Amino acid sequence: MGLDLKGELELIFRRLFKDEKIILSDETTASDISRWDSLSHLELITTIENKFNILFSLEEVISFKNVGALLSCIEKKINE
Amino acid sequence: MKTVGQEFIEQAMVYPTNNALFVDDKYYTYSELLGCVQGVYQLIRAQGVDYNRIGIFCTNDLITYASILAVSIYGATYVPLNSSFPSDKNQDLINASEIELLIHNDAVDLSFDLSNASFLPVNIDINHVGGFLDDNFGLDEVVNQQIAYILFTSGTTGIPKAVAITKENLNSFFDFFEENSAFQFNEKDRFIQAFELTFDVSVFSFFMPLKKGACCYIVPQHGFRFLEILKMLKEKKITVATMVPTFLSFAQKYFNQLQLPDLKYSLFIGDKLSKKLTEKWEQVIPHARIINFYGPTEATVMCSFFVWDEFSKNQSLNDVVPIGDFFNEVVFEIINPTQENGLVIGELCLFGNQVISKYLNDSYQHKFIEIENKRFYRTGDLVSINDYGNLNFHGRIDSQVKINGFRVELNEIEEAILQFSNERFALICFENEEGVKKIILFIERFSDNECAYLHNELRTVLPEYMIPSEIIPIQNIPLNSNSKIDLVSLKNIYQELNKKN
Repeated sequence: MGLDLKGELELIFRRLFKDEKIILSDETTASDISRWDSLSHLELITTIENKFNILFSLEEVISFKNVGALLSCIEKKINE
Repeated sequence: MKTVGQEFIEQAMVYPTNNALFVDDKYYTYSELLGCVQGVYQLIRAQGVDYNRIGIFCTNDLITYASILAVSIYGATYVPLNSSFPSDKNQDLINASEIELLIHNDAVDLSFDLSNASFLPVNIDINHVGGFLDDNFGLDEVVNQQIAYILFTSGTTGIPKAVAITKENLNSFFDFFEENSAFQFNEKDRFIQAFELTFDVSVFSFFMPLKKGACCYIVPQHGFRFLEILKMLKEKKITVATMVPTFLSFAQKYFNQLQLPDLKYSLFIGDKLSKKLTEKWEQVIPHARIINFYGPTEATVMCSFFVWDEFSKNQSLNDVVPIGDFFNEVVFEIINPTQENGLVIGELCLFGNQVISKYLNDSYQHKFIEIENKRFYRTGDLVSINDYGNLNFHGRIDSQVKINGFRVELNEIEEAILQFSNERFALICFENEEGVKKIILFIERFSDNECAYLHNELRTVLPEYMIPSEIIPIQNIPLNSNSKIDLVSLKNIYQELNKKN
């Protein structure tokens, strides 16, 4: 069985932030992950866009307050 | 000579109901902010001691900004401390600046060793301020300290350089904007303040609007700074925006979704400005004038400027927009010139009312040079002059790099690494295709766990922007034919690793 969306996202986070111990929850924010800053955020967004073959708008990127918001936006885009 | 604090009081008299500050999602009028400032001022006076140097533990809130103004009106030197810096780093800066009082938001517990200085916790109840004034408030300074503020920049020996900017330096800097017709700021303007207060561009972004009766919008420190800036530019219809060029690298992906017709001035400072990116950016800001500034902290925020237009932009060299011509009060010399590709390139040295002639405590004396009986500051920046009298920037004479506008001496990071490891290592500054720079550390004989450990340890001694983005274990650091570290090979190795991932 393939990974669920959260699992896939977790892998992306672990690879990008070079930390195998990262476990995501809906409430996870940048303050929980030490290397998640302005610079890596855009890398993260681009990696997610490429992985799921989607594109986020500026409004959407600005509105991501936590991993939960990010996940539901990815889900919505995939099902569009 | 008026201080910026006194000028703020004057504007508050003329425009009491204008918004002065937008911070933490709230507006404060000039009258309200003045009330807060007076509150902090009275707390300082109530200590019954004449303080010359006052530290402010900056938490980017109303208290922080009101405290800076209060210290200015009081007449002392302000020394901003960055709350996101490691404690040890701030302790070093407290010791080096010899502050006598440390103002902080009373919601923050601090545990610094202040020896002979004292803490001043501040709590402002906005419902109980505004409207009242002591008769003599702001007319005279209680102490008349010549130094307006002290900031620290990265130093080559690991010891930061203390830059003391006098009130005279600061007035000379602001005079440029009064005297130059290219800048027509007024009380209706909305400025954005996107810089940490330990970065001197904040001096312009915060004080300039308050000298004009305009409003200063503070970008929150939480969240992703570049996105917060974009959001604020758009939602608050900002008219004057000062940013580091790296902002364009981040934001370019969204240029096609963005229009900022209210922006009148788009000012850049802190790093190389790309011509290509600026050409794309001007499509987003149809009514704005784009100006590229240059200035080390030692020359008071900005000391040269280049007005970008359809014709002048062609003076760019290797996609880098010129840093332009100097402010009237700044004299420059170019020393140790060499010929390269038909250009005469040398080190830029500065002198004048805006430029310091020594560091605090006379450290780093070799950064100054006597030319015709004048003491010039050696910037370490390599420049050439073009046919229009504008300067083009060609890089550094040393290992200093710029990360998001912050000056970083790689030596300072090396000193920090040596505290935690004896293995051989090398640092590179890697710039990707979008112009975003990262510091990468290669280290021999380290396991992944040791890399993670070192990363955490560095966090305790270095500010965030100095911490290597990646620590990569390597069998052997490659050397060139002169037995020096082969930086080109390391950059190639890093690029290959990125491709694999």
